[in-house]
Amino acid sequence: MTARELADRLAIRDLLATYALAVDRKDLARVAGCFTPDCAYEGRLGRGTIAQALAALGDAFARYARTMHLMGTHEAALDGDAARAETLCIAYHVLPDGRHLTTGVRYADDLVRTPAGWRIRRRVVRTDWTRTDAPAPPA
Amino acid sequence: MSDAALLAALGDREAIRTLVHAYAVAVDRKDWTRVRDCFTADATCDYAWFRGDLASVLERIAQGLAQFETTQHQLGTHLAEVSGDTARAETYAVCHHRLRPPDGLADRIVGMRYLDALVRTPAGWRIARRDVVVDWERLDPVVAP
Repeated sequence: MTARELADRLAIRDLLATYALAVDRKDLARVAGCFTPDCAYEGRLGRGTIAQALAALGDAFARYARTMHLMGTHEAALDGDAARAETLCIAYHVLPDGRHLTTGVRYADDLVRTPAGWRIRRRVVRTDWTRTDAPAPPA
Repeated sequence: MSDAALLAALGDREAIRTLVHAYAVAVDRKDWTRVRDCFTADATCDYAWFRGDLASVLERIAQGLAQFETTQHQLGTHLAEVSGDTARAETYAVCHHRLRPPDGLADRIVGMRYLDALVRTPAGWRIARRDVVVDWERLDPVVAP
């Protein structure tokens, strides 16, 4: 493995982590920075452009008291200045009434190397499972 | 350690991590060709529920997972130690299996560890021996959102 491939793999993993951190901080500008401006999106936030998805994400921020996107399994395949990655995430959403909405999602991403670094240029989000759980009783 | 040796060591670690994660993605996709490619042809496995050569174990995995609507093999804690052309790795997994029993949805969640013995082959790192240790299992009824 070349130093370049190693660095690319780390940069792509960092990009996925940045997305998760930015979403959980409700930092829409930082979320947007993970994608190319013309990125195509298909998933829970709709189907179309990333601009539409980001608008829907901004609305979604208001529905949850807190979220935690726990990124786990991650596989990336590099092809020069392009890459594909699949990343599993358990997304915990704390609802205003305290219940937890938890989803097991799978990000299938096409990525591209830009002058500013790796960016997602196409994202398909699949939800594998969804469940709602009561909050913990007071300790 | 020289820079070249460091780079080689880092590359081995990344390749092994990628291999273990590729297995998890492939098994959720039920892409059995890709799953098989993660192992040496003569690999042996002990998956706790069943054990044997690669072909028989993969058949049992396919049968076992067929009953679930979806599965998610979520990997976390991972430690690998390379020694020349062999390596050992231990990887934690929390596996979500979505069931649709007659009385409503449920998730069978299994916390387990993959203990892998790996070898460097001309085609890259492969798993030669895998032992699965099941640490806990839980059946959670699902309340629809």
